Amino acid sequence: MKRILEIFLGILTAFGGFVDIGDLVANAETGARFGLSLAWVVLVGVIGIVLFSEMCGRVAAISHRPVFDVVRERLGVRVAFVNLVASFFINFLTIGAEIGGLALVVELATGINYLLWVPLLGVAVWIVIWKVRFQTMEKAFGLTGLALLVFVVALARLHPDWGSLVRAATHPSVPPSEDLATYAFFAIALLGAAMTPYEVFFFSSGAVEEGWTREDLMVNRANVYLGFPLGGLLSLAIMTTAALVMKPRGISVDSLAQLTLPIGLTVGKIGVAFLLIGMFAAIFSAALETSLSAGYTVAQFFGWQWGKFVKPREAARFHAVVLVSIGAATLFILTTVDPVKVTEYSIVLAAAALPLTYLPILVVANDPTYMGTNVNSKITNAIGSVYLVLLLAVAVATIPLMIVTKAGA
Amino acid sequence: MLLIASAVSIGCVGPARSSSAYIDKGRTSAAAALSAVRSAELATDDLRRDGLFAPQLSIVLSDAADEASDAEGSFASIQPPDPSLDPYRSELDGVLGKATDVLSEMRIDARRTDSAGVLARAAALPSIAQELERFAGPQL
Repeated sequence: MKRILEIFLGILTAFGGFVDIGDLVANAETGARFGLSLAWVVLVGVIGIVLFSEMCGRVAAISHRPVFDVVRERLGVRVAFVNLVASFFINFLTIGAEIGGLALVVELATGINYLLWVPLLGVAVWIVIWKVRFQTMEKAFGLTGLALLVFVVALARLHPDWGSLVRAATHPSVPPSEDLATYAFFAIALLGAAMTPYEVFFFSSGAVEEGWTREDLMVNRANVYLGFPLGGLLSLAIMTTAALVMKPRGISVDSLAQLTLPIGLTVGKIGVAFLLIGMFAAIFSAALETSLSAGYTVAQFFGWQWGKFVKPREAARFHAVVLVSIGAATLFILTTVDPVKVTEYSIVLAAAALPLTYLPILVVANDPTYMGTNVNSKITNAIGSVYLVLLLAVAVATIPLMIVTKAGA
Repeated sequence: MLLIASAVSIGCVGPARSSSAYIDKGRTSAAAALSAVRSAELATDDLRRDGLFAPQLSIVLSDAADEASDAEGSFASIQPPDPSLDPYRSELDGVLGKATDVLSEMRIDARRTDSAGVLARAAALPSIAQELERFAGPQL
């Protein structure tokens, strides 16, 4: 019974922790601008993150080592260094985006300018990482993030024609007011939001933090096969709500504040309260994950002691990297750069770097030296290879599309 | 990164070399202002249904006023390529100015938590939106 409860809680945590500021912004923007014609990208992104997260969790459970550690050993320092530089830079932007996003949510709740909250929230993120146990931290914020289900309630209250929604999602086309390049650019942004590299680094390091073994492979599968797709459905609910309320009015979404409008319209003040709590928890959870990921990747590359499973004194360099990353990202947001713009750039640049993250994972998950008999199945490898081709194409197209479309303007 | 950011931001505003390019920029500005006006309309719908707390209403209206003002400033900074477009410029400029003024006044009322004032000023939004639609073209 305890085991079932643990698996259930894990699924709910993965569900509630799936959405971060990147997903909130990307799904609402695309819903308002393209309706459901890009819903298929959410599906592609969710399948991709499920596929590679399962590999990461399996590598961690079997080898008792996180993916980044194994990548350095298996593919050498040079490949791991390129991976480190790309993922650390994107991760840094994402930490900034999450801390800025948190401040915007608190501004929405209090009316006090977000810049005043930025340093306080940076400190709060660091204190939680320093003081709170890993499992407590992960479950508390992941489960509170479920308050975002208010989008599903809003969607139901809009009484949409479900048949026409399914038709719109399954018959994608470029809207007449948009061109193909802009459509492709937003598709890439959505994919980057769903498959952000920090998610797999955090997932595999988290598995080691929680001491996963071969017996936990079931927990791994339950989390990724059920929790992540449910999170994907939540992303679709955000997109659909924006498509139903914002698009017909010609409203483009470029601030978090606008997300309160469809919720206020359909669910009222109580819904807005749930939305604010859900956004705060989901973004705080992501701020913790990205900050820890900064420490994980650097410490694992240099072979330092890392993690929250040892006393901070024993992993001093790991905690120093986490602290410096949070501090630098906080200062970056204090320059008054728009956190929503930082989010947009971080998810698009994440898309450009996806092959650097996912190719090594595929290689390691196929190596019997680490995985024994638990290497990838042929089907997993086939789907993984198709994804790598897709991710390479995305990586090549991202920067040219960003310039041609003026970043989707 | 800086190069990419520069390339992207340089492309945001530029001189119009032909009538069609100028009208295109007018369309973009009108669409941005229309989005701001419609956002404010939706926020006032929420207010009528008691669906928003004061801080959210104030922030949404503040963002809308900024967006309309940016659109107005961006359009005003472009010179028409020939005199035949001067009437177009002055007409659109007038509508963008009207949108900015009404949204700015709504922002002030919202910050003073004067809901009645917000709703009274919102009465002007549908006609402004209609005028902007003429310039922005179909948005659906």
